[in-house]
Amino acid sequence: MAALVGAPLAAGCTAPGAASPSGGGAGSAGTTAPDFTARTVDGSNFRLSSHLGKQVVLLDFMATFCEPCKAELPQLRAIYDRHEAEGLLVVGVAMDGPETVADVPAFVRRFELGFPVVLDQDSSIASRYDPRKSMPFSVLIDRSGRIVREREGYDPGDEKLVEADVEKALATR
Amino acid sequence: MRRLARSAAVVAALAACTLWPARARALDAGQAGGEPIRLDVTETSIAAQRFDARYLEYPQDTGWGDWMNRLDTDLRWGRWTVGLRLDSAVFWRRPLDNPDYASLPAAQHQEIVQDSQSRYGNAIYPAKMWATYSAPGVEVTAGDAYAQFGRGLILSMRKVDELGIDTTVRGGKIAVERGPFALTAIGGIANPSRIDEATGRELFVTQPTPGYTQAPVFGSDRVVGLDLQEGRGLPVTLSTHAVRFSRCAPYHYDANGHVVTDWGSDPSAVTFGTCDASDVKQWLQGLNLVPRGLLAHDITMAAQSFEVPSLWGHGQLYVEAAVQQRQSDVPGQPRNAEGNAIYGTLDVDAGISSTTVEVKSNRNFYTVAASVAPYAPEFAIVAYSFLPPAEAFDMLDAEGTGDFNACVDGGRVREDLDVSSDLLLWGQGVYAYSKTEQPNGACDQYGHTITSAGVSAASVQDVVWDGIGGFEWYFDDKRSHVFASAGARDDTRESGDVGYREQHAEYSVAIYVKGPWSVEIQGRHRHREEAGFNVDEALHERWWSEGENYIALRMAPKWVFTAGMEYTTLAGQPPTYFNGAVLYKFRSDSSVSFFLGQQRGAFRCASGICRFFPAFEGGRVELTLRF
Repeated sequence: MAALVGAPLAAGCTAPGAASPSGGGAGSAGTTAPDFTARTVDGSNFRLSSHLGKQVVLLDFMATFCEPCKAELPQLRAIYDRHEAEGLLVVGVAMDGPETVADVPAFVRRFELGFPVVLDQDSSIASRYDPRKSMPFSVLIDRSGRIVREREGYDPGDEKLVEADVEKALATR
Repeated sequence: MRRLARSAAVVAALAACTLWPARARALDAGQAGGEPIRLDVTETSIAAQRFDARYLEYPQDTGWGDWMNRLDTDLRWGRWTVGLRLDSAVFWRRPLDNPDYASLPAAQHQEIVQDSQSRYGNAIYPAKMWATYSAPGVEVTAGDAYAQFGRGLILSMRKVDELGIDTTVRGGKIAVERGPFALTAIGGIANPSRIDEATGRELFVTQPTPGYTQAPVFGSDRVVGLDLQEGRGLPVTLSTHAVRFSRCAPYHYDANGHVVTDWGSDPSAVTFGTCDASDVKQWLQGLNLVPRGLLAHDITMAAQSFEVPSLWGHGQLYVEAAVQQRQSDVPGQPRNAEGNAIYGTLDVDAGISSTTVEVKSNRNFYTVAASVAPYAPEFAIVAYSFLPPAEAFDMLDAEGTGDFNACVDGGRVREDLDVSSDLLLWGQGVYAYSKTEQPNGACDQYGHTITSAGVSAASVQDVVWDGIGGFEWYFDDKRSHVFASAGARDDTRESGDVGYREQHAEYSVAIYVKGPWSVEIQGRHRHREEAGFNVDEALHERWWSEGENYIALRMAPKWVFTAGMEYTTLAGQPPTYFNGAVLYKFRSDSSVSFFLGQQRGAFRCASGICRFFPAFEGGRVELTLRF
């Protein structure tokens, strides 16, 4: 509803599209990330708990029809490229339903996403992390499996804040 | 202007009221058995005040205010999660309470009284509740769960927030995975969201009204289903699934045909509904004839999918075939109807080119619509299965939400050319041949056209062509972009009559300026013609234009200021609409937004589902808090 009775540019895809401060509260900071198993775009199985405790994980909820997601993804990919070797894993969660899920493989190729992208057609993963189902919506999970930052929306310039959070999480052992 | 100022003051006051009670705290509830207990809270609160009716607007859609609240709580302990979503709605200045009500003509009084029976009822109810046990390879849920099998042809119960849809199965769900095998079993009663924020319409039994008997709005729809996947993670994945839906009555009907809604008199039926044959027949007879599958009391479906997730590393293939049987006791409906559907996608990449092909071929195969009474049309879009439309995403509304895909052959081809890492060129073509876009069209399980007596086959067979092309260009280290596209659609019946035509163009330009500043402009223009719309005095259908343009100034990471203008030349609607909005993010995950102004009523689509939203003129404040 927000996108339809709110101003589209302020609302992003389904929720407010503004960026987030680096300070202030940290959403569900400290909460253990809920586990999930899902299929990736290339058909393999992905289980979140297999990576918790080993890597810093950045979940990014997105969709092929979400324009702010298209603005964010090149930046997210660059962050992943710079920090993959230090233990960062980005996981894209494609919230496309059956009406657009056929476009996901080409979308992944277009943005040259080298990280796993899982399909969440029935919105069961999104409902665990973000009952609002906003896009883009990112969840940063540290090596102990705890959520350290949730971030709704994307504006140009936000990538610096995302990267600062990632570097901080990577530096924490 | 005074009206605007008065309403702005109301909105500001509402904002303060909305913010104040939301001072909750995240809860670290200590430990049990060596495991921490955590409580997560997501609070979404929306308050809106509509201005009074202007030119040709309905009094029942204007002047009222509401406060909708969603409180999501999630308690986690080890492998257990217990959740509750509490939804509430409070309405004020309803059409019946509006000071202008007395001055309306008697016919409108009657209309408003009738309409208000299923609208504007203050309510608080547990929208979702669940307990889940999750361990490697096993997940068991008691309560509300989302579910989709394959591409949704036989089961798709999910959340589409943009349209206010949030449908779960309230019962049980078990998912087990072992190596390449996975099994999902589900059973329970369908549980959609009960309150429509845009209109205040509700799925509860109608409110007591002098001169009217209470009537149910939503049925008791049951579902059981099983999905077995083989070959997960292997070169070929197969999935076999079956579902049975049973429509039951939401209440018992007494000898006078009135529903028994008193819990003390009939606790079982009031809580779960009743599958008593006479109650079911009485309930279903009052439902709409369209969509056609609505009058079946039992719908059984089975499907098989075949997937190759990697075609030599250069694409993938997915094919799903499904059959459907509908049983009905409603007079005039076939006792047993059968249908079938095939859907497939092929994705291939070669160098800079990516090609996506989608095909559909359906015969007498209907989506399973929720049992919703005709006086709650806003909920007619709630369905438990979904036929992938293979359509231009932006053009889904041209098909409406009827039965377009029940008897259809068609497909879509999209070509993406990655000219460089900063430039994408894309184009898409769609073709569809539907026998069910028109309300009096149908087909049998072999695809033969069926029409009402005296109606020619050619007048219910629609041929649709749709083309669109565009580009996406990034620059300034990919912090700025220009997205643009343009296209056209033609839907003509074989009789030669125009069903629908459109030309359209869209753009989105985001420019990163400096530091935290960026500017974005976004808009769309549509030139449309549709049978039965925009009819002039000589009864000729005329083309009309509509669109919107928005500009936003962004100051990352906290502020977004937006101004917009919408317009339409459709007869009977105000031609221009102006609005402004401010969004403030006080945390990375929490925000408050204010909207003031007008937006035109329109048929809008999200996630392949379309519905009509009435025009909005007023103020709105929305708060999202996550703990």
